[in-house]
Amino acid sequence: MAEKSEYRGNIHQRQKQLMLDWYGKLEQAASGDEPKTCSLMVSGNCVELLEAFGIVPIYPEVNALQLAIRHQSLDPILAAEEMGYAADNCAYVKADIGCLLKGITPTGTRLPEKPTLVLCNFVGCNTYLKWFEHVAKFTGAPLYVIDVPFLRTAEPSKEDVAYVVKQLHELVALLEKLTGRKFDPDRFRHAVACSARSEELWSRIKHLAKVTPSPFDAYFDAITLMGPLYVYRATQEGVDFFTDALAELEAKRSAGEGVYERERFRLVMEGPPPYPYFRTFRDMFAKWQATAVASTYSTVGGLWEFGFRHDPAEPFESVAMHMIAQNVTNRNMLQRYDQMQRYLEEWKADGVIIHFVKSCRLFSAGQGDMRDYFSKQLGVPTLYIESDLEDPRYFAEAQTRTRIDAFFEALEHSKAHPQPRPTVAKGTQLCVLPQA
Amino acid sequence: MRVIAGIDCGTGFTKALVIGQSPGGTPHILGKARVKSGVNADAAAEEALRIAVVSARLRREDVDYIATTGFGRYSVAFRDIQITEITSAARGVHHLLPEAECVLDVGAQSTRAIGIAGGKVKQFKSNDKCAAGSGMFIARAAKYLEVPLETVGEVSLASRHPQPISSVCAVLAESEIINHVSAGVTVEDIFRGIHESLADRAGALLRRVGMRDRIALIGGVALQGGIVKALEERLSVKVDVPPDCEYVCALGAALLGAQRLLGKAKETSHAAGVRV
Repeated sequence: MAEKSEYRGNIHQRQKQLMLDWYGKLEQAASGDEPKTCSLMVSGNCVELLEAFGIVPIYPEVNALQLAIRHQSLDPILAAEEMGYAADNCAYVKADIGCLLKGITPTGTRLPEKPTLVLCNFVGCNTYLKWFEHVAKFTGAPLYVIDVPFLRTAEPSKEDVAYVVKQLHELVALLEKLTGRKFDPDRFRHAVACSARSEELWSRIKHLAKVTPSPFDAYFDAITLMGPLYVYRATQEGVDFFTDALAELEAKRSAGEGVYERERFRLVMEGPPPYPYFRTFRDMFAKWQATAVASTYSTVGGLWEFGFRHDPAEPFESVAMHMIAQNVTNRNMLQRYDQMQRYLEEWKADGVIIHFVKSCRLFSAGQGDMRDYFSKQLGVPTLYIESDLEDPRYFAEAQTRTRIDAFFEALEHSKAHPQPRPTVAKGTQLCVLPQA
Repeated sequence: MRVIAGIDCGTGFTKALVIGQSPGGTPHILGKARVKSGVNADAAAEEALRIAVVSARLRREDVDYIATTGFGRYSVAFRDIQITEITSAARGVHHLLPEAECVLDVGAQSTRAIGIAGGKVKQFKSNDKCAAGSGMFIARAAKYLEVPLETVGEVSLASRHPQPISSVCAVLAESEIINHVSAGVTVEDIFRGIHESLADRAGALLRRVGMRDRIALIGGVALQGGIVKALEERLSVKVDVPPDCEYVCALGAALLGAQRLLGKAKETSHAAGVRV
C-alpha cells in the first residue's frame, strides 16, 4: 500500500519557479520605486485592473500560507498575540501582522515595506476589513476599500454590478494618481482576456478529475496550482503555465495514470488544509489511496468550473461579476451545498471531508449543519475534522489520524456493501434565491 | 486452531488479549494482560503480549497474527495489521453484547461515542483535544484528593449531595475541586460531581450518534460504579458494562485480525460506515 503521493511533475517545478519570480519582483519593489505593488485579497479580486497598470499584487494570505507550509508561522503569530491580538483572531491575520512587525518573509526575500496601495476587496469575510486597515496603518500605505455586496439573489442585480463598477472606476482614478500612469483600456482588456484564457484552462484541468482514476488531486495538487492562478492569471505567463499544466495532466489522463497506483476512494474536500502540517495531512489520505476529485477551497479565488469567464468585451462588468458572484466566499452556505452536491454527482465522489478551521469563521461557520445535511439527509459518508489553516497549535496529529483511519475503515466496508442513499432528484437545487 | 492477539496501545495502559479460533468456530479468549504504556509503545506492547501469552499457557511463537489498535497502533513494529480503536470497539462490543447499538468508550485521554449496527460503525464522535471528559481527569482528581484510583467508583457511589463541576477544562476544574475542598465538601460528593460532569459531556457525544435508551460502557473508567450511576441518572439510560470492559478494544482487534487471517473478509476491517 502506498504511504505517500510522490508525484512531482514539471508543473510543480514551474509553479515553484513562478512563485520565486514573484517574490523576486516584490524584493525588487522593496529596494526601489518599481514595480508598483498593491496588497489585496485572493478571493474575488480585480487583479486584472492592477495588471493594466503594471502593478504587482501582494497577497497577505499567500504569504501567510507559505510561512505555515514552511513551518514558520508560529513565531509571527506569537508576536501578534504579544501585541494584543486575541487567541481567536484569524491566524492568517496574526501571521501577516507578526511578519510585518518582525520583518519575516516566507522565502527570506524582502517585501515592500510600504505598498503603493492597500486594496481591501473584502468579499464575505469582514475580518479582512480590519486586517487591511491594520496593514495600512502599520505600513503607512493608502487604503482603498471596495464594498462588494454579498450575493443575495441567484444572479447579481444590475444595481449591484453598477455599484461595484462605479468603485472600480474610482479605483482607476486613484491608481492613475498613485502610479502617475494613464489608464490604458487596451492593456486592461488584454489582462481580462488572459484571465479568461487561464480560467478556461484551469476549468478544463478541474474537469479532468471526473475520470477514474483522476490524474491529479483536486485539493492537494490544486493548491499547488492556485499560486500561479492568483498571481499570474491576468498575464501571458499565467496562460503559458496553465497551457502546459493542462497538457501534462491530459497526458497522464491518456496514459490512465492516477495519483496512486490504484485509486481506492474519491473525495470532495471542504475547507482549507492545515498548512502547518500539509504533508502530514496529505499522507493521511495517501495511505488510503484516496484522491480528492473536487474541493471548495480551490474555488476561493474563483468559481470557474461551472462556466464563468472574464469577458474582454465587458471588462469592468465581468470583473464586478466575478467579485460579487463567482467566488465561493461571497456566496451563501446553501449555494456551497449545491456546489458540493454537484461535485459528488458529476465527479462521482464516495464521500465528503470537512476540515473545520478554528480561526476562520467565514469558511467554517455552519459546517456542523453541513455535516448533518450530507451525512443524515443525503446519506453521504462525511468526516468532520478540526484544526487550523495557519496555527500549528491546533493540530492534533494522533486524533486526526484516528478519525481519518476510522472513516476509511468504515467507507471501505460501505463501498463493499453499498446501502441505498436517500433519493434526491438529480439537479435538485437546495438554494433557490430570488431573481434580481 | 489459530492464535490471534489483539493489542490495544492506549495512552494510559496497553492491553493485550489472545484468542483462539478455528475456521467456522467460535472464538475463545485464552489469555490477557495489562501494562502501563509508558513512553515506548513497542516495548509496552511486547511486554503485555508476553504476559498474555503466558496466561494463555502458550509460547510467543504460537501467536499467528497480531492486530494493534489504540493511539500507539502504528508504533508496534511486530504488528500484522493496525485498526482504529473505533472500529475495534464496535466489533468487540458486538461480540460481548450483540444487541448493543450505542457505545461509550472512556479512555485515559479520549472519550468516544459510537453508533453501531451489527458490529459495524454507523457513526462516531470523539472529544477533541480536551481531557475534561476523560479518565485522566478522574486520575488527576484522585491524585489531588489522595484517593486510590481503584476506589474512586465506590467513593462516588457513597455520595449524598453531589457537587457540580462546571468548568469545561480539566485543569481549571482542579481549581473548582480545591474550592470545594476549602468549603468542606466531602470527597464522596466531589467525585460524584466529577462523574456527573463527565456523564454530561458524554451525553453530548452520545446524542450525536443516535443514543436511545441503552448504552454499552467500555474502557477502564467503566470499572467505576459512580460513573455508571451518573450516566444512568443524568442521561436516563440503562448502562451495560461488559465483562473485562477495559479489554474490549483489544478483543475487537483480535476478532478483526482473526477475520483477516482466516479469510472471512478481504477488507482490512469491517465497520459499516454510513455516517461518520
